[in-house]
Amino acid sequence: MIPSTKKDAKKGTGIQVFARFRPQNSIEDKNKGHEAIKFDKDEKTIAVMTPEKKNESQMYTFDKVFKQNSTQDEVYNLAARPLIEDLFSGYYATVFAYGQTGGGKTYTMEGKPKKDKDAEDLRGVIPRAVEHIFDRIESKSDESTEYTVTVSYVEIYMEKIRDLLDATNTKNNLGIRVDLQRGVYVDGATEIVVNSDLELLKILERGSHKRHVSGTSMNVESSRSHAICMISLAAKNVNDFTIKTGKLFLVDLAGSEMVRKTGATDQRLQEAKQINKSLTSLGIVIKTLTERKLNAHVPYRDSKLTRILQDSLGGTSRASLIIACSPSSFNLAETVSTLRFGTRAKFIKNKPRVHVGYGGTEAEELLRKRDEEISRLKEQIAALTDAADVVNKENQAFRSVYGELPPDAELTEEFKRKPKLPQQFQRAVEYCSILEAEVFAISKEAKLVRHATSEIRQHIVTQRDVFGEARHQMAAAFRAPECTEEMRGKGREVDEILAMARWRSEDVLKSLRPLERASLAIEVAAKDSKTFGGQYHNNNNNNN
Amino acid sequence: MAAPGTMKETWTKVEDLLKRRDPETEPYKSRYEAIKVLRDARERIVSGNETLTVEEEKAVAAIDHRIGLTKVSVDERGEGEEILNGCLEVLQKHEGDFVHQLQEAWNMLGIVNFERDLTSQALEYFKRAEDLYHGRKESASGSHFSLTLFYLAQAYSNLGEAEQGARYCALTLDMQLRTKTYATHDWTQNAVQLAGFYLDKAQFATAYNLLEAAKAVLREDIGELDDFIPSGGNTGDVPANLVLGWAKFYLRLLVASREWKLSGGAEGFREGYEVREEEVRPELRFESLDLAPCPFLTKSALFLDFGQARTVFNKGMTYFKRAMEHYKLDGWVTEHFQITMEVSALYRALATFETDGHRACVMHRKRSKRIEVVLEDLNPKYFPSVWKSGLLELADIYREIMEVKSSVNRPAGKVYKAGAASAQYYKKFIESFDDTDGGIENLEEDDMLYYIKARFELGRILQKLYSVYPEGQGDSRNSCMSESIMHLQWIEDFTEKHDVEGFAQERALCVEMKNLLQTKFSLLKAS
Repeated sequence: MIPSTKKDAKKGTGIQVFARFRPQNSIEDKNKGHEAIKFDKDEKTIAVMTPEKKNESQMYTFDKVFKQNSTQDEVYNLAARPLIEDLFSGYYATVFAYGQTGGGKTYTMEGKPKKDKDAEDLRGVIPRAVEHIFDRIESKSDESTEYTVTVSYVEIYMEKIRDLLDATNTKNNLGIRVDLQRGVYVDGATEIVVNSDLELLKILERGSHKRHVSGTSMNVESSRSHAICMISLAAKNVNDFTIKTGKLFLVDLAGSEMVRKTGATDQRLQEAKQINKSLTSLGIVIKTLTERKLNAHVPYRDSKLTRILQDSLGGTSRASLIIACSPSSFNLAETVSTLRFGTRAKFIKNKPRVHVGYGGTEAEELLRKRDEEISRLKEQIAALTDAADVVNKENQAFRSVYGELPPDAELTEEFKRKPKLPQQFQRAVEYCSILEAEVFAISKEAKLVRHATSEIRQHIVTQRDVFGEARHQMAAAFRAPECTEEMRGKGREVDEILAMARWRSEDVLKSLRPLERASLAIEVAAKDSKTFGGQYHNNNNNNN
Repeated sequence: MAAPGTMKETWTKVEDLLKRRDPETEPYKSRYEAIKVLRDARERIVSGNETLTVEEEKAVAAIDHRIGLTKVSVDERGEGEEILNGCLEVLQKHEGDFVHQLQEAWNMLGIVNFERDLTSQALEYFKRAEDLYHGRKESASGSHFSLTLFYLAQAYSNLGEAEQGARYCALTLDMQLRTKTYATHDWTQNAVQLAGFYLDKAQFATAYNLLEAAKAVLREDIGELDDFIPSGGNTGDVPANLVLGWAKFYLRLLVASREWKLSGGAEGFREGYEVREEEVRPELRFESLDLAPCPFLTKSALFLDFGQARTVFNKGMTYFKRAMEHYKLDGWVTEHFQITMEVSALYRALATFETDGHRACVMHRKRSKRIEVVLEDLNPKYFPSVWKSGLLELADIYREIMEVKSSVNRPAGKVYKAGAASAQYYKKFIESFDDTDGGIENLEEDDMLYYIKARFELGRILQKLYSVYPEGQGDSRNSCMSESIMHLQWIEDFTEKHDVEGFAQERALCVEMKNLLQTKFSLLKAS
């Protein structure tokens, strides 16, 4: 026995293997067969007497071991139900059944015939799966999803594919085709669209019947052929027209005798320590040798079964294998060979693998390049650090001369958000230009004001002198002989007005003096700050 | 029951019974009957016979021998083995009379023990059968010996001793030729497949001989076939596989020479490569076929100059094209893609010998175009392996184009374009793992390595893109850098939590690089 490794347990290989034992049957009882197996309480391990040495036993471990009293329902729920659920998410699912004739395979997969009184409870995996699919469709069906179920049913015997649903009986050697869009498929297999579980079951029944009938007439043992039933489920979303396709493969594998005789099995199933006795399998041995390394792949046609199941065993797929065995010492050899098949199946890898040509960069080349890159990065970083140092020094010089930048509310906010030096500079430069323009405007105004005040001053000085002259003339006029008293009276009134005006002029002149001083001061200040602003601006340009 | 006949009649009957094929319901019916007939015959000799004559003793041993073998064949191995062991002494005593029987017995005992995991005992038995044949070539059975060789081949390959396994496969093939017991197509296919094994081990001369032998044997069947591939008819895949075998031979030769060139033409590099006729093991010369010696398998079969590289490239290319005529994309998606990948490798190897950057880029572009054609209409759901492999190859190709362009100082825009294409394919490749069951940590070892390396490469490329980014797009340029750091950080975190075999050295570099990038990035942001 091959012990399952810890790694496999962790990774949970895609294929789950279930072993099911039926009770001893009458033939076995008659032949004094006795139970030659012992169930472990973990429900996963089974101990079997070795056929060669009766007092020893061998252990086999599976994902689950079903005892003789297990019900069809239990088997379905564990081995098939989860797969059918996945089907609706667009997965591929495969249920394989394997076992010697009389091992209970047909009972597990199909169940008892309808006329049996407990037929409902005794239905096998296939009718349950079919019912399950249509139940799900009904419960999920809404306006936005349309489901289409199609079925095909083929048989592989001696590497020939025969259509079991073909009414014309002519499709006896179908080919396998591979298509970019469809993947691997059986070319020309009849596909029938079905609308109900009953319809589907009827079709399957017809197919099985045909397999059986032609089997006898052609002297073909039905149990020596593989039968594959493919049920496709397409869910179309009528809103966005997307289609999800799930596929269920129900595979009835031929018994082990058959597998050995025709070599129709997947070579991966033969990885156990088994010696092929016939030289016809030399090819398999050589292929195994070369396949250890993917690069050495030489195309080789796998058996038909492998090719059809290629998808189902790879990629987005789930698979269960149910092996059906007898518990009796009478059929011990067959049971052991079936169990061995089951343990080997555990090792099937069903994950799509990445194939790399010689295109990938070689490790050494890669490492060398990394090293180069790292030293380049280090250089770049050194250069950047130097540049940062220079900028920092300049900043310091700037601050020591001009102090921190003015606390402008908006600016500070800006700084907080983006504390980046280039932006800070930019903002400061912009701010300075604004200030500069303002100062320039002020100095211009101040200059105009100074001019205006000095003009006013000039004017008032002239006025004062004119008023003075006028009073002087008036005084001379009083002294003249022809001056009457009436005239003198009037003259005194005018002189008083003139005196008042002159005093007012003096007054205005006095109040103009601070104004003149102020405008001069502003002008001087503006001139100074303009020089400062320009200097700052120039500094900054140099930095950029 | 029929009246007891002579010994001769008994054997005829047994032979007949053992040839029969029984129905599935009673698979061993005839064999059980044969055992019964044998037991009756034995009984007639030994009953009431106190002391057996030598002749009688021999007759009993022969009967027991057959009973033992038959018992094993009906899965009663323990008993069968016991009976066989019981008669061995007499058989060995008269070895000359029982050569065939002993061959069969050793073979069978070997199998029984091997399948029981008693490996060294099994090998011991097989070796006895082998020695027996060599000791008595005149009387021994060639077909039993073929089986001995075949069982040894299986035993060794099962034990992981591939080299020995392959050697015995070759011996089996040779024996099939000598005994003229082979089917042409099977033999050819097997020889081609085995040639693949030796190509993998860089044993060019041996691979050459196997391919030549395959050609000679196939010629018996199809007539003259110089560098041809018959189209149509019922020739099947074998001729195409032979052509493919040759194509791979030239590819490997070019790839090996490329490696030699990359090593700087180091002396001693050729040590590991078997390129001379004289180095081929005798059993792999298939003397019965009278093969012509290979003209160019000499010490200089590996080369460094472009002229020779081109010659080998052209030969390989011709064979690949022929193989693709059979393995068409339509109907042979996986096979066709595999060949496309090999053609890509052929161009890649040639590009290494090309000194002109522009011409090297043209060669790489031929690679990418071929892969792109396959991926264009491919349904990733049905061909997940092809899809992933194709994306990764494209990413690698564009990365190489970028590297060439950058090394010959092409304008930044051109470098950027190739790098952006590469990054895009790496991203798609990485995305293709999004639906991995149970997350990335559940990937197979090899795939895991490809996945992590792809992230690593993507990190590198993004960083390269940063430096050649088109002007005036500061924000998206910066995102290149932060994305790059993100991928490297992911690798650091992931490889810390999960033990990834074969990545330790890269991991250290990855971490160092990430830290440097982070420093650089923060400096850039600050200045």
